Amino acid sequence: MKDGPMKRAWLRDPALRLFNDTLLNGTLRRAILCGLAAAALLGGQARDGYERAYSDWRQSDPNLERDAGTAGDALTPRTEKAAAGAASYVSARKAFYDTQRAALAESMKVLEPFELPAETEAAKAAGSFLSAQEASVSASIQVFASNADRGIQQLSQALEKERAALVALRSAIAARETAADAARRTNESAGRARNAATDRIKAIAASFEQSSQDATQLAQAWTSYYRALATGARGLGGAEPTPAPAIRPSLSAPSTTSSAPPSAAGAPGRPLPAIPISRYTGSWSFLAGVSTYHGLPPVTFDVFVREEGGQIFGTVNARFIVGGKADPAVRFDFSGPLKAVRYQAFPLQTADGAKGTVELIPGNAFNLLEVNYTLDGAPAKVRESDVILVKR
Amino acid sequence: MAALLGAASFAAAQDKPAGAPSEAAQIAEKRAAEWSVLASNLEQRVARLLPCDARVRTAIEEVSRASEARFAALNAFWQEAAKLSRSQADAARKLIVENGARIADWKADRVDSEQEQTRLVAETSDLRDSARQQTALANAARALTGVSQNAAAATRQAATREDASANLDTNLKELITAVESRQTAIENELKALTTENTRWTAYYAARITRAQLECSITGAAADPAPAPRPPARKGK
Repeated sequence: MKDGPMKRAWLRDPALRLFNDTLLNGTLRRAILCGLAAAALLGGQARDGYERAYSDWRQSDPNLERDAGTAGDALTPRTEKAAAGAASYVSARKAFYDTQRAALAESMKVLEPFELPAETEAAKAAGSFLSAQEASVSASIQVFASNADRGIQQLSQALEKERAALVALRSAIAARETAADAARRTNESAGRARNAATDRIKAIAASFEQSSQDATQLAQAWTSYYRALATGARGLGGAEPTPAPAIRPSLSAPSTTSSAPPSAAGAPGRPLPAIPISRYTGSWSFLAGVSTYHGLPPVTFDVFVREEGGQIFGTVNARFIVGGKADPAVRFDFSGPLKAVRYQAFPLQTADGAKGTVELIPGNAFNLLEVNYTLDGAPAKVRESDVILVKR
Repeated sequence: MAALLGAASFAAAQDKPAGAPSEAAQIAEKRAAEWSVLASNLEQRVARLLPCDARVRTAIEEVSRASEARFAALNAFWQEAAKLSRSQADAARKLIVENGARIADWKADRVDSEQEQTRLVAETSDLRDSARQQTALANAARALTGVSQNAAAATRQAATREDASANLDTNLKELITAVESRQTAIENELKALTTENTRWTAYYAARITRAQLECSITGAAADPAPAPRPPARKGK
């Protein structure tokens, strides 16, 4: 990104260019830039904030990875500095995502639905009143029609006027009902358009929320990476770096190879998975804030897996947030031979006899396991789910 | 999960149905009910009175006033709806402008993500070269691959958002069109309300005229408080 928009933002900002061009030392410049970035964030210019943080981080040590093979212990302070830069950048970028999401939430408030007046009871009363009056007036007119008395004739004329008023009234009521129906129809149409717009806004806001969560995990991943880089540069193999970068079920790239050594639990003659058996076995649970999923949201999702003589035995106990009369609970057992692949797939069976398959896929960190199941022909059940679980 | 739960709570907060009836709605409902009772009972009340009983006119005027009050309240209710509708149209127009400004930011965010990914590819390549010299860097290489995957996901997400923002623009334009149609319909309804109110007033005026004629024909002097006719004597 060194020649990208972040760099351009850096260069087009006169204040920053001035600092860049003068003899300000790196530390002072960095301090000033941090202040400016914070001010930009507060001023709602979160993107400029993360772009600056990115430039600052990336320009500080562009040869870090290139030097890692030869620098040895000397790389450690450089990785620490880079880790701090990465943390600042990811934090600023998270602020950008959060700012966007908050702005979208505000947008939603101005599109609240409303209902138009409904006047069914009064309309019914008016209708029956009119009918009764029309009948009564018409009957009176008929009775007085042949009466030559002047007073009665005057009364008859008054009744005619009253009837005309009733006819005009009926017409006005019908016209208003038509207008009200049109208003209600257009309101429904506006409601649908509003829902489409708000659904879109919600989806974008959710995407920013997801990005914000990913940024949190990415910050950990960069810290982990720089730690592993420093350790590796010193010639120490170290443990697998933890914690892991953000992962989502959709991003769990299938892989059948791994450089990780097989588990010591793998006895001679026993089929070994491509990665340690401990990446599959044990107690795994859905952990809000860490676990991600595809499908219906789980309330709980507990899996217990054990290995015995090259066979995997497991139990899944899950409960989901469901709509209607669907059964929120899913429980099944599975078993099968351990294979020498990363993706382990097993047939499953529920207590009430439904069958299906379950896949166990180790996550990007040692303490994460993706569980993906499908039930065949199990009406009213949650028939599929894909969840990242955390080892207990 | 937290993200999705967050989105769910966001959705719950924003997608609430229209709340409790407004004051205008409550008043309109009350006035309609009051008129409905008086209008339904009018003829029954009048039939029990002598033609020149002052209470005949009073009863008709009472219903007429209730009718006026009903329409005044209905008019206020629809005016409120018109105001809300106008506000929604204005809000949608404002959102289109804001969305235009955001699109620029989101596009830049996507470009930033792509360039970050490019940078990661270069770093990964550098690290791979270094790992040839120092095999202990394998773990770091794996971690960097994880970071690259995350960056790729972020790029995809940013691109999706960029597309969604263009679609949002379309949605908002459709909303404005729909809201403008509704606005026209509400204004037509307000006109129709005025017409209907006028017709009711004309009807009640005609009804009073008839009552006055009935009195003059019978030639009876108005009794300030005559006793109501017993039901048995009603001319049926």
